[in-house]
Amino acid sequence: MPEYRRWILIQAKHLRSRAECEAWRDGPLPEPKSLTHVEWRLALKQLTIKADLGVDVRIETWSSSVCPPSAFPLELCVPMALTKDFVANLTEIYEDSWVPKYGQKRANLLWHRQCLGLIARHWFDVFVSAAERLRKVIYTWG
Amino acid sequence: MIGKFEELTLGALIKAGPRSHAAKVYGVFEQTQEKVPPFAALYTALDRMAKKGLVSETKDENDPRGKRLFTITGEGRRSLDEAVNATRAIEAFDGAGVFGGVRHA
Repeated sequence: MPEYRRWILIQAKHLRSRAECEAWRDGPLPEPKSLTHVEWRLALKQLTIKADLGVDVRIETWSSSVCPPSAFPLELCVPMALTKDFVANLTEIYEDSWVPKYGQKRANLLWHRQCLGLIARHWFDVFVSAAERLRKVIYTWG
Repeated sequence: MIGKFEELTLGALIKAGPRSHAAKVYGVFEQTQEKVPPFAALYTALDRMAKKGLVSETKDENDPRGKRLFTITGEGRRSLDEAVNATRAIEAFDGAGVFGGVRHA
């Protein structure tokens, strides 16, 4: 897991107040956000020193490196109103179901397949409805 | 009359509950079916049924991306009943011969 992508949440559980925490860290407490590599190294150094002094500090890190592939081709081919919701739902399935079940590589493949599937199905529906309307027009005139 | 896949989708939508987004309906398929259909097929089926009036849709106001929430309508429920009854009527033959069912004398 690349360090510059780590998200850090520092929990100083045994320090009494936020002010105390801030005094300890010589500045405002960090919000849970993405840190740069240098920020991460500095935070780690300070925490190591404090841990050596007997302060009980818990660090939780988690990775945000698993991100779904681009949906740009889909946005080009399908109306935006449909794409936005489809991608939001697909992202949820990708993160919650496919990546834990199949791994990132296969999950990416599934993502692209679903995007292609939506493009094909959307345009197929458009052509079928157009053909139906055309048939009705021809039968009405005939 | 609705197709078999639409019948399954409506059933999954009922199981997922009212105001469910497409990913939740897909979750029901994952939990209950051995062979899960492609998500794109499910999504286009829901979209098509929304256009037909079998399913109503609203926007999720709590979600920043404004997900579409689907709920089955009265017409959708009637169509589902019709389809299920038709399937049950055919099942009276026990799928004899073709699907390895038992043929009664």
